[in-house]
Amino acid sequence: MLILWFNVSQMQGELRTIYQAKQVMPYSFSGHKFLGLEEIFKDVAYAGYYTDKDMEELRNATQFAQAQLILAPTILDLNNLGHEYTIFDCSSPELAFQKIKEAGLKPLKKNQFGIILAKRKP
Amino acid sequence: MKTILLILPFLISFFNGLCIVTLILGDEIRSHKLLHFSLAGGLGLGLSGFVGYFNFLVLDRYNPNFQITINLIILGLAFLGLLLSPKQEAAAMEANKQKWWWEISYLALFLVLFAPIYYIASFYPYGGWDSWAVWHFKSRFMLLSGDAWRNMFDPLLWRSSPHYPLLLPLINVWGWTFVKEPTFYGPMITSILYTLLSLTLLVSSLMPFKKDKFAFLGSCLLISSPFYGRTAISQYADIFLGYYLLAALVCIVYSVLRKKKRFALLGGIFTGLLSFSKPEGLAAALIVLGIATAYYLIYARTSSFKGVIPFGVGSAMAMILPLTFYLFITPENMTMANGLVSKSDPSTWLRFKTILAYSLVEFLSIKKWKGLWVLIFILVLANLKRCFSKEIALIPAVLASYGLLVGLYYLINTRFEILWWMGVSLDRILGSLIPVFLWWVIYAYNWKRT
Repeated sequence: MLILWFNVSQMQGELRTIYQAKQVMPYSFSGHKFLGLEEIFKDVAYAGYYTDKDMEELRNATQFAQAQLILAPTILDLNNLGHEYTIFDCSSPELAFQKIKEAGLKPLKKNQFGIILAKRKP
Repeated sequence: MKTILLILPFLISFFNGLCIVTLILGDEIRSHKLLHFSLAGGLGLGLSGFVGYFNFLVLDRYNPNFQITINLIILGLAFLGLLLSPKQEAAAMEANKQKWWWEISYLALFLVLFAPIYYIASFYPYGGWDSWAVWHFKSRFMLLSGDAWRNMFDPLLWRSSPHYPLLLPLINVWGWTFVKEPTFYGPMITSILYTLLSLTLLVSSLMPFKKDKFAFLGSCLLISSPFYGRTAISQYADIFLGYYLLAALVCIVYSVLRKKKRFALLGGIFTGLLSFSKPEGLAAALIVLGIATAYYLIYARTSSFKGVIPFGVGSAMAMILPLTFYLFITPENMTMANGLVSKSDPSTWLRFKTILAYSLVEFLSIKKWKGLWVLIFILVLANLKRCFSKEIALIPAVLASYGLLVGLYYLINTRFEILWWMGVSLDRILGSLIPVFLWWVIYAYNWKRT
């Protein structure tokens, strides 16, 4: 009974937290930053994913995993600029554009979350 | 309309399971509605997962029409078999009416208790880490990749554990078959459904021994536990594995207690499904296979009951497809480094001590378990003799062997830093075993004496 009481009080706390979080956003998922790209990637088996962020950090690793989920079955190749399409998720747009220029790619799209899609020049 | 299309595959699987369980167990199950429901859900969905895998083997891509047709053919055949099978006598049906009310009440109570879980799940519709990276990801991949589905085993996807078995993703794909798009509701329903089935199985399988009220209390401890609830919400395969392990063990123990070969056959089928749930599921299935065979053989020396053949037949039938995956399809495990031969990352004495110490800390963790494991150990100690009695000796033997194997794997595989690895996996492994532990201690404990 004591265990049940502990559980219920912790569950109450969790429900309160979720209720408060739901007032800010309907659900938790950062993969939506990549929505729309799946239309372009329809017949693309592999694409690059370039980032200068620390992938050991949970937040960045989570975003990469969620991007991979949303864009499946396209396989994202981390920090490989050799594919026809590459997604840039950099700490600043300037850095991303500089890297795009260096790699000889052409920027195609940029969304409100700072995600840039670039394509290899023909 | 979309909701109906989303629920339809689950309903087809459920009726499939209902008919097949009735065909296998006959009158043994007709009077135990909740147990019937609990076994049918897992069997039917597992079977639909197998059909999906067969679909990929035969057509080399996912074909919804093939999947629907085979499922409906199975349903038709099972229903026909049911019409031709003998019916239960009316008197026996009448006698069980009172019990039905209890069963319906338990189911209704569980549905109410699941409301907070559903509320939290709606905030995490894509589940947790392993769902994005492994289970949900593989499901989407299989649905959308056409004939390029084998790309999912590409070493580039090492974060998604390409060597993991496919039963859960295949069930998710089946859940999307009628809506034709990978909506997050499918995996969410699957995950919550298996949690519900685990708890109803725990309660209903203890009803014939009049221990269902204690089992219900145990289930309330589980479902109210934020940790267990989070595992259900995360859409991981741990509760899924735990369900099949419990179903297999319950059927095997029932076969011996009631001297019914039909339960042994069903136990074998659930063991086969368990082997396709997760790599740990394969390990657990092999342990169950070995120990149950020995259990039946030892039991046969002092009794006329011989369950080893139906159990073997059931396991063989259900293990054929998983074996084709493990032998011919699955890629090498890229997250394995053999510490026994590795010079750079050897298995050390310190690693061994860390495993023991961390396990102890985990069992005693008030934050996660609130003393649940302590309670379980007290119940075992309070009734040692019955916990290890011949009729249920199979369960502690399986649990101990599984625990030993998991410990050895932690020791030998030095690919990951041990504290981090145990931190992200041990609680889930323990969580998947809790229903079996609860079944064991509640069955064994002499409540009347207390």
